Amino acid sequence: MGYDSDHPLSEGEVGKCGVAISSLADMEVLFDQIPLADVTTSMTINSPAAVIWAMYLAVAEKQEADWKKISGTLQNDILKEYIAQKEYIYPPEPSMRLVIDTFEFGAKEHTEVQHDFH
Amino acid sequence: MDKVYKEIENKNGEKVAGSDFMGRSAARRPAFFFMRTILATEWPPNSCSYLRFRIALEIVMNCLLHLLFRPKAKPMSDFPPKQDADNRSRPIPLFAKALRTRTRLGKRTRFNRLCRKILNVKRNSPRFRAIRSGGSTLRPISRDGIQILISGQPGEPPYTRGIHATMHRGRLWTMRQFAGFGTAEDTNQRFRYLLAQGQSGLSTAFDLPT
Repeated sequence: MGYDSDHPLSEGEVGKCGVAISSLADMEVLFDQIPLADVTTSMTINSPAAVIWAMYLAVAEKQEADWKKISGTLQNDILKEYIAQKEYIYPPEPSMRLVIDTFEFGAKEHTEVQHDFH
Repeated sequence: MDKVYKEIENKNGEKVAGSDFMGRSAARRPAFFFMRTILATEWPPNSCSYLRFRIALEIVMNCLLHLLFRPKAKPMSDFPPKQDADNRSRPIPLFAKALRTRTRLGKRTRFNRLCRKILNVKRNSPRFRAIRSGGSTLRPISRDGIQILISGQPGEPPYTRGIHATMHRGRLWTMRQFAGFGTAEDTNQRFRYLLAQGQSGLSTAFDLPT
C-alpha cells in the first residue's frame, strides 16, 4: 500500500504476507546475484506496480542488463483492488493513468514485461 | 465355402473384385454385398462373422417385411401427415443399428445430430423446425463464426489457434513458485535456492503495507 516498513500504520503487519520492499536498497538485496536478464519474474502487485517496476528496472540497470532482455509479468490490475482486495492508494482515475503510463513506457522501451491487466 | 467372388479384369485391364458369372463388377451393389456377406460367412462362425450374418439377415428380412406390409399412401387432404406412434413404420432395432453402422455420415449430418442432441429437440418437432427456419435465435453456430475460428494459422491473427506458432512444442513452460518472506534477504536466499533447484522463473509475493 506504499507505506514504509517503519510507518506507524505498518506496525504489526510488516512482512506478514510477503517480502517488504521499502526502498531501492531492499530491491537490490532481493535480486542480489540473480541475473535479471536471464530469469523472468512475475510480480503480483497492483497499487505500487509502477514504482516496483521502476525499482526492478533500476536493479537491472545496476546489473548492466539490457532492458530489452528484461521479461516477466506485472499484475498491474488496479481495478481489481477497488472491486476485491481494497488495497488501492489513489482514486481510480489517476491510478488508471498510472497503469496506462506503464503500458506506454513498456512499449517505448521494448521491455518484454506483460501486464496481467484484466 | 469357397469364395464366390474373384478378381476379374475390367475393360481398362485393372483387376477389380467382381463376379465371373455376371460379367461385370457387382461388388458395389448392396444386394450383392449382403449376399456376399452371407455366403462368405465361415463355418463354424466366429462372433464377428456371426454378427455380420445377423445384420445382413435382418436387413434382408426387413426389406421383405417392408415390401409386404408397406404403410399405405395417405391422401393429400391431411397433409402434413400426423405422426403418431401407431402409424409410423418402425424398423426393427437391430436393423436401425445396422443402418447407423453401415452409413458413413457427412460432417454436416453429424453436426446437426449433435446439435439436436445438445438442444434436446427431436427431429421434425415444432421446436426443431422453429430453430432450423431461423425463427429463433437458438442457432448453435454460424458458418461465419466457424470461418473466423479457423481462418488464421497458429501464431497469426485472430489467434484463435494459439498465440504462438509452435506453442509448447517450441519452448518448455516457465516454472516459478510464488515466494516472498518478510525480509529481502530471506527472499533472496529463497529465490537463489529455487533457481538452483531448476526453476526457470521467479514469482514475487510482496507485502501488504509496503
